[in-house]
Amino acid sequence: MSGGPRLVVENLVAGYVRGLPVVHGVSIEVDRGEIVTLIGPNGAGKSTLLKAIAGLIATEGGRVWVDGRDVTALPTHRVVSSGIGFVPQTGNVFTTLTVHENLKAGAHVIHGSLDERLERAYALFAPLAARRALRARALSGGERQMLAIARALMTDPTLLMLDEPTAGLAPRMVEDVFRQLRGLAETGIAVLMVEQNARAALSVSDRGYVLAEGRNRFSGPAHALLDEPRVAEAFLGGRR
Amino acid sequence: MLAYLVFFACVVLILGVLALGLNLQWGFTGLFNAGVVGFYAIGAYTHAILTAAPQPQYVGNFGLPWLVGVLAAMAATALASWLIGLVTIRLRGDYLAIATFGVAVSIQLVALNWEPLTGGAQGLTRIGKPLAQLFETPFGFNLWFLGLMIALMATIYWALDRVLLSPWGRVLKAIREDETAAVALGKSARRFRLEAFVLGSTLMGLAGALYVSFIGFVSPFDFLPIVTFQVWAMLIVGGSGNNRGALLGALVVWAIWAGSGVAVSKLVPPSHAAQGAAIQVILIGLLLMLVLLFRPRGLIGEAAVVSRHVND
Amino acid sequence: MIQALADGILTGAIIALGAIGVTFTLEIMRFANFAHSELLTWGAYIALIIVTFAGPGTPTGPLSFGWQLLAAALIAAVLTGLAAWAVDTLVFRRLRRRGALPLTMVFAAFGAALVMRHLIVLVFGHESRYYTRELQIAVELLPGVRVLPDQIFILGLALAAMITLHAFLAWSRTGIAMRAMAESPALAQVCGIEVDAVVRLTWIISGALAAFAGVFTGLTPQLHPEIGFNLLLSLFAAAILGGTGSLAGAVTGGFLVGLAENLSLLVISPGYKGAMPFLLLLAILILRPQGLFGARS
Repeated sequence: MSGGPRLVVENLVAGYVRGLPVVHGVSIEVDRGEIVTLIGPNGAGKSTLLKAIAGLIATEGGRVWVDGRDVTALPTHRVVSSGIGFVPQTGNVFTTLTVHENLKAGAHVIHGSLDERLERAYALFAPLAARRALRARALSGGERQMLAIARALMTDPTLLMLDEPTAGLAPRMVEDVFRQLRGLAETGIAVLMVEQNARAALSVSDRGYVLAEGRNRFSGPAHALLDEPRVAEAFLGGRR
Repeated sequence: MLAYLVFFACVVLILGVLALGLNLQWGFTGLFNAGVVGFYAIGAYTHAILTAAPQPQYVGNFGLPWLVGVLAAMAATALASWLIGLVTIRLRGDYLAIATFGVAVSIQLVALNWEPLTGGAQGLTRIGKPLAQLFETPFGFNLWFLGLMIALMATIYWALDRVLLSPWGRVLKAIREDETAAVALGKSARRFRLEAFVLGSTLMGLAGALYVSFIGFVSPFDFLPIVTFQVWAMLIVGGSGNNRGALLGALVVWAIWAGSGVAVSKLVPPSHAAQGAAIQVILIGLLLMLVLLFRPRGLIGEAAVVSRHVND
Repeated sequence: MIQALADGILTGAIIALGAIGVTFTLEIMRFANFAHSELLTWGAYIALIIVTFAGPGTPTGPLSFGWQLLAAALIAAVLTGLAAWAVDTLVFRRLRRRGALPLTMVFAAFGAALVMRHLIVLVFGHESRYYTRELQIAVELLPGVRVLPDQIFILGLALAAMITLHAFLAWSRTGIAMRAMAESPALAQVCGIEVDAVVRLTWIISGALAAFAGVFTGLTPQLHPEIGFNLLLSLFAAAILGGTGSLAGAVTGGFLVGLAENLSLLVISPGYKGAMPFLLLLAILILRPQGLFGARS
């Protein structure tokens, strides 16, 4: 169903404990080739939203569509094979596996030879190629983040979700990551990210949503959010 | 029939003491003791060795009075459990289970092999019973023993209640219910758990002494891991964290065990006694797994208020 | 002394096969499966049933059996693997889904072990049984070291099984998926790895290895309903010594435990042999609870 949005989330209600939702009916959309950023204060439910979309926590209300298919009630491994690549904030690489094995694990749902995909991954993330036989725990922070993203891309997802991809990274690495994401979006992948680094993220995004207390607050083109005084003072003020 | 019921009641009360001991360790302190039968055995054999009538081939058998045997049994078990606890209390939940299980297996092996002291596979006989010389018939003695057990049980139950309401008991409860309190207490939390472990084990040793002084002989085959399983079953069926539950569980589980044993022996011809016994164990094993699957709180248990640091 | 070393290696190989399954369940399902030892017994007796009908085969070479026994062992391995998965589906998985306490899981495992062991007693009774009535002459490998040809063959098979498993885990996609799941179930799911599928495979592999261990035990020299249970402490000692989560650890642990048990016979009476693995376990838990290869404490 090309042409329609890649991801549609409608009135999603979800939380870690049944009956205690953190997300209270959030709706968002991401189109192909777009970068959409979710910002908001801590505890706003941004990470929770991503995890709920990925099926890692149970949803108590609302719906999620990926490329027109309802994935709301699917277990995580089926959601992922529906075309979503997810990069969690922490624990996003297998430390006891090598770089090469991490990538292979990421491609678990792909049948047949992985050689081409692996070469593409190494071409896109050159430092990983040099370290392919190293265990992931031996990588630096920036390299791990690269591996996490490369791992999520192994299945050629139509939607890439990232939870704080630049957390703890040096400014130059932050630039690198955002540039990679821009490049990916240009190939048609829809990118949805949660970022604390709100200003920088919005600068490379097409659109943004501001969430607070588990609900939609503002949304619109990224530059509009950057200019909007209420957003600026409440949420763009400081970095973490 | 009445004679059997009296016998049955005595055994249930003895097992009840075991269950109360385990409940103190598990229900009130969250310690996963999979070696219950080991402490039971220490108490039993200490009493036996001290009170059995002297025999030339045995090192022990001092023929001492019943009361001495019982008190010594409790002391020996307390000491042993203190040493074992020092080493094992800090272990994480299932590791504590494996370690205590191994302790019990080792103790049983000692009982089985150290012939000069324990009588080896034959065990020891003519063990000191309380005031046995006053009663002419076994029934008479059993009736008296039942009375003694009822009095003892009432005392133990009451004493445990007092202990749990005391300042010591309140700290124990706090440790069980609030992990941060446990962490803040640091080393002291371990001391409290060790004390609870020793106290619970002492009760188990007492039960062991009572058991052999009731039966009159001791054999290493009475102290196999299945006994630990039975006592745990009592707690689970009755609902742990709750002394009444422990006693009720003792009654129910033992009634089922003894009852099924009788049923099997009536239905199965003697030539297939081993198979009959196997059926009995299978049925009870299945019954307990069903309880775990469908009614995990037991008969009158509280909600699963068990120490979260069980997993430490 | 060297004889004890040889015996230790032979026993160690069998313990290693069983310990691998214990390690897998500890790592992937995070639970101490006290019923694992009964899978050895079941494997041994399933093979016995097959051998009773098909015969163990005319002895090939110096061995006491023919290829039929090996075929029986393979079939028993598959069936035991499936049985292990069945027990998980009926009992353990339900409890896991409900977030049961570790106590409940261990108790359920103990209960399952009781049922499994006594089912064997029910069907076969307590007497010892044999796969074959062939007498074997011990061969003197080195001065002072006598072993049965069967034992050497078993050692070879056990090593072959371990190497195959290692290759599978290291190089196959499914093997990588299992290792991924062992480290982080959440991230594995995010990679599209299905938890239930990995769990199923884990049980089948563990059960199959246990079955081999059981058959090997039953060969040297006999079967009875307690053969699995007698190894329970050794299996756990080996798994914990090796450091859970590591195939190499379980294997090393198995051999070390086998050696320790046999060497200890030089100084203590055989009646206490059963206490050896426990003492070893206690020593490990006190001195180095993460085991030799484990990273976490």
